[in-house]
Formats: sequence, structure tokens, C-alpha cells
Amino acid sequence: MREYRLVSGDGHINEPPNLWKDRLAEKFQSRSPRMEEFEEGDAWIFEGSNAPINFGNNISGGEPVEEHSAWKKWERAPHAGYDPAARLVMQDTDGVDAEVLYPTPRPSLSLFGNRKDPEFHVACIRAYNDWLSDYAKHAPDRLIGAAMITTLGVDSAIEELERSMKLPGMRTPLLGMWPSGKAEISPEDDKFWAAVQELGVPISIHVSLSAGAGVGDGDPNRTRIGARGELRHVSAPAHCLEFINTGVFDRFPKLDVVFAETDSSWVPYVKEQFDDRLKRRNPTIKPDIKHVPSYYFEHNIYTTYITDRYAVKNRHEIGITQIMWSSDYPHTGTDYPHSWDTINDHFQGVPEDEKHAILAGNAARVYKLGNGK
Amino acid sequence: MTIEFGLISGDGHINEPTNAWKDRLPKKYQDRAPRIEHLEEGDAYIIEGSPAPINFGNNICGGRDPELCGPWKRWEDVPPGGYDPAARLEEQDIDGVFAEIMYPTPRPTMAVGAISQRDPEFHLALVQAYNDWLSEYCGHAPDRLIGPALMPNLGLEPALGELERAMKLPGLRSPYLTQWPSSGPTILPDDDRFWAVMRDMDVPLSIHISVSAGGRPQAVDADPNRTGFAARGELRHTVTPSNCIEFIYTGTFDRFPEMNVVFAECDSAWVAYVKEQLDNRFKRNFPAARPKIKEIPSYYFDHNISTTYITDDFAIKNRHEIGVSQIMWSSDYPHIGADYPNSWKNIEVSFKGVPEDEKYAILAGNAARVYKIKNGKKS
Repeated sequence: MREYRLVSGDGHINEPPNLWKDRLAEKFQSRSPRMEEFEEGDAWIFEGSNAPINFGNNISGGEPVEEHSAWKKWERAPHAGYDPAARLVMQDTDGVDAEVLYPTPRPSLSLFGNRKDPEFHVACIRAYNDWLSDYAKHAPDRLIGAAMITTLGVDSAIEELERSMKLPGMRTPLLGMWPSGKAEISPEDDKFWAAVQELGVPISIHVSLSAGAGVGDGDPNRTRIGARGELRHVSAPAHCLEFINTGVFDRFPKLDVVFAETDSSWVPYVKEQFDDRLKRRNPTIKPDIKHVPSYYFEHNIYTTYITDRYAVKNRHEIGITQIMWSSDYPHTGTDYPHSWDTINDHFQGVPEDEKHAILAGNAARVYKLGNGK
Repeated sequence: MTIEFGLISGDGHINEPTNAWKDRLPKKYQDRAPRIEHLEEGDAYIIEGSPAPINFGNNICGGRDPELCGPWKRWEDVPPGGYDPAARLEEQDIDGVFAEIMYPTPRPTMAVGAISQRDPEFHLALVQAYNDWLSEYCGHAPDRLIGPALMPNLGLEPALGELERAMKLPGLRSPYLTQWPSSGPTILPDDDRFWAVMRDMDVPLSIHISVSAGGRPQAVDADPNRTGFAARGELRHTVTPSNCIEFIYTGTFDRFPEMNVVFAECDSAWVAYVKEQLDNRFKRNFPAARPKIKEIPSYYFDHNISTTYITDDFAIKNRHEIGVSQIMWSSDYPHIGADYPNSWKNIEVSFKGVPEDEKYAILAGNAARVYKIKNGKKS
């Protein structure tokens, strides 16, 4: 079995232009997501999305900042984004043993949000999962596939969960909305959590669940304050509160939920505040849960961070077992090909076992790496 | 335990008596004045702009046993200090507090804010009536009762008008914004005129949790039991960072380097995280996409932005990363988060091992400096 020294809890593929066209049925060909050339650069056209989706910041990781730009040509995408053999070379260059692989956020939000034609919705998501399985199965001990889950209701979600988890290389469902397809967690979702617990796989959520109607960002240059990556920590606490206060983790104590790319250092603050509020609440209107909220952050909830020195310093308050390093490659937040330089700087004085847990051990345990899948 | 100095709470609350508005509104608005109604579950404010009665149980139960807390209470249960300044000074003394910044109750304030969309003149009349009432309340002991004056949501000119009017009233020391001054979806270049007047007046800006985004007043939660996840106090830190980003990236603090912005009740521990992430992103942005600002983003957190917290041990531990000069303790009294009358008891536990000068800064000194409170220190 491979010895894991560095596992990225959050990396990204780059969807190749033919991904959907090659896999969608004849009748959907004319509606297939496609890449188009624009004067500024190439961009995705997704049905239901109100503007072309550029991807410059999703392919620029590791390039000098002067080369970064929201608009780029597809030719500039690193081969590692869509060619698994090239991905392994990239991983070796950066000293990375394995990565959990997510789609590009805005295309995936478009797919999650486009529910007008249920059959088309399912077809697009299945095409993505089939493609990702083909990619990840090239080296399933190093390429960890997160399967997109449909947003049409619990039964449809369970169907794609069970289908995709049988595909080679796929180890976790990626939720874009609550399994019911609703804006808030609901009792219906329990069926999905039960199926996930039965399969023994963790749930992955990238930054946040979608509020529902939002289909990508209408502004291709993403100048809106709300769209900024600096604010990626603001939705996860609300989702955590939903999981905790509805007693999901009491009913499904083995459920692991990974919030990717949310960073980690806000966790102790949220733990303290949630516990404090619970203590002050009138017993008759307290959420009916078995433990204090912080308990669930120590047993069921994980976060991945890219660069978060404050989290490394406060790792004990967060919970050593609940933090996962990530590179976010090939997005602009990555330190590729110098990830270890940043790590060695941030982890000065951290004991080896704690360092290993954050850099590889936690992800290997939660995503069950080395189980021969 | 010895009380070494009087605490200054960066975030306390009054409880609006219904005559606060009624007694001060012009005659033509008398029948539309906010009122308190006796409902079966408890008393509640009836205010145009709110789709439902606004209960206030959690706004009056600070310091009481959790069994006595709950969303529905009677007006008789309100601590007299909520509306009677003489009684408030006694409550302050009991808790070892020298002074408080006195904010209104959030949901009635949101309801008044929402009226701006349909009846601007009535909205302004309500805002002015509130500020007049608050001035009378704070004017009773202006060193100990610090009034942030509510600004109207009607665009820049009315905001400037009320700023000029309110800052002349006794006891009012700071404008309190619930939207950006121009009432826009983001900070706009016109807002500079508001910041410029503030600079000339030498007053800090007060924001309770955050200003509402999107150019519309924040909607009042229609569910009187407030079971919605979005409305929960646990999530009070989630919008403030985007407000900070707007101030910083628009260069507001470069143009107004002396400006002090206090974000109340949003807590403090997240600040160190946000500083690190903003600096990191700034460095990774390609130069053309970088905001045009003179310093790195964390600089402004160290110089222009203060936060107040209620209970935040994690912030005390990480006070140096946050910035010792930028943190203000608060009691949130008489809301449910308050440790009243045991604030000092819990403070002594949280501040174990913290040097005296740093402790004083967080518990009183920073608020005294920013709000220009005299006599913060008493033996």
C-alpha cells in the first residue's frame, strides 16, 4: 500500500470541451454544455446560465501572477486538468500523493441548478461522473473522485449515489444542494444520509451548497464582492448548524461531512459560539441533540484549507483529526509546485504525528485510501 | 474579586417603549405609530414594515436563568434600565460597567428600515423620533450612555441631513448605519461625502453586526419564533467580513485614514483569519485585478476597523493576531448573550494570564479612545 505523506483534500479537474458532447444522447446534443471562443478567451456555455463561464482563474495555479487572468484560451489549461497520466506527473512534481478531485465551481453550479428538464439534468450529471470515473480509475489510489449528486429529490439523489459509488475511482458524493433539492435541510434527507452511512463513504461539500435558483455568476469578470474567494468561509457554519441542530449526527453518528475549501481557522470560534448559545437557550426550545455542538465538529465535520497559518497555530482548538490540507490545484490559490515550502514554513514546531494527520492521515482515513478500491 | 476599572461595553441595547415613537411623531402619523400589543403568547411590537408581530423575549432576558428566557415575554418583564436611564446606571453599577454604547433592538429597527421602501417621509419621521428619544435617554448621563444615532435608508442627502441634526443632540456620538450612506448595493463614490462629514465631526461609525447587502433594507424574519437557520445569532459573523472588504477595496480608508468603524456584536476571533486570507489573496491576484489600495488589507484591520465581542475566549487567546487595539468587550445587555450581573466573573476567567494593559484596552480603553469617553477609568 502506498505511503501517504501529502493528500490534498481539495483539488480540481478541468472539464475538457468534449466531456458532455461525447457522452450525451443524440437528442441532447444540441443542448450540450459547450466551450466557445470569445475575443477575451474561451468560455463555457451552459443551458440556464446567464453568461458565458470563463475559467482563467481555474487553470492558472502555479503560473506567475502576471500570467493570471479571468479570461484564457483552453490551450492554456494544464494537461493535468483532464489527462490523468499528466496529473500524476504534476502530483509528483509537487510532492503530492493523492487528491480529492472536484469539478470547476461555476460549471458544476450550473449543472446543479438547471432542473427544468429532469432527464437532461440527470444525463449531464451522469456524463460528468462517468468522465471523472474514467479519469480517476487511471490511479484510484491517487485520484479520488467526488461524484456530483442530482438535485431533483431524495430518490433521484440516492439513485445517482448508488450508481456512481460503484464506478471505479469514485469515493464520495458531492452535494450541490440538500439531497431533497430544498433550500434547507429536511427530514426527507434522512433517507440519503442512511444510504451514505450504509455505503461507508464521506459526504463532500465544496465551499457551500447552492441556494437553489442561482446558476453560476452572471458577471464573467466576477467583480462582485459576494463572488470573491475571500468569503468562502461564510456559508459552511450555517450548513454545520443545520446538520447539528436537526440531530442528523445523532441519528447517523458515523456520517463524515467534509467541507472543502472553506479553510479551518474559523472552526474554534464557531464551536465556542454554538456551545455558548445552546447553554443560554431556554431548555424547552433548545435543539434536541445529544451532545454540545462542538462535539459534532470533533467527530463528524471536517474542513480543508489551502493556506491558513492561523489554523495550524490553533489546530488543537479546531481538532487535529478534523483538518485536511489541500492544494486547490490548478486554481489560483495553489502553491504548486512549491506546496512543501509553504507547509514547512507553517508547520515549524508542530509534532510529526499532528503534522501527518493534517497533511495526509485525516484524508486517507476519511476517504478510505488504501482500501484497494 | 476586585473591580479595577469600569467596563465599557461596545454593544448594549435599549428596549424601545412604544411612546418613544408615539410621543415624538407628528400628529398625522399618530395612528401609524409603532405599538405594543398584548397577544396570547406574550407582548409584541406591531410595526409597519414587519410582516408579523415582533416579540422581544430574547432581548430582555440577559442575566436571567435560561428557564426564564424565551421569545415571548410581557413588557412588564423588561428591565427598567431598558427605557429608564436612571435605572440603567444602577444596572451598570451592579455589573461593574462604567459605560455602554446603546443600540436599539434589531428587529424593530429592521421594520423601521423596511418602511423606507414604501413611505420615505414616515420612515424619516420614525428615525428622527427614535434619535430624539435616544438623546433624551443618553443625555441623562452622557459619559455613561453613549448613543449611536440611527441613519435613514433614503439615500445620501437624508443621511447627511440626519447626521448633521443628530450629532448636535445631547448624548449622541456616532452615526449608526444599517445600509451604506447612499443606500446603494455596495459602497459608492458618493458615500465619500458622508465619510468626509464624519471626519470633520471627528466621530466613529457604528455598525451593528453588518449593513444589509444588495441595496435593500434587511427583511424582518416573518417567523416570530425565529426557527429559521439564517436568523440565528450563532451566524452573526458571516456578513461583516464582506462589509470590511468593501471599505478596504474601495480605498475608503486611504482617503479617510483617521476613520474608525466599529462592527458591534460580530465577535472578534474571525478577524485574524480574514486578515490572513485577504492578504494572501491580494498577493496572488494578478496586478491588474488587485484593488488599488495603499497598504495590504490587514493594515486596515489594524488601524480602522474595530469589532466588539460578547463571549469569545478564542479571540482573547489570539488577541495579538486580531490586534489588541481593535477589540472591544461588550455585554449585549439586556439581550440573551449577556453575563449580567456576572460580567467581571467571566472576564477574569477569560483573561487569565493577559497583561493588565492589554486587558484594560479590550475591556474599556479601546472603546474610550474610539468613542471619546471621558473618565473611563475609575478606582
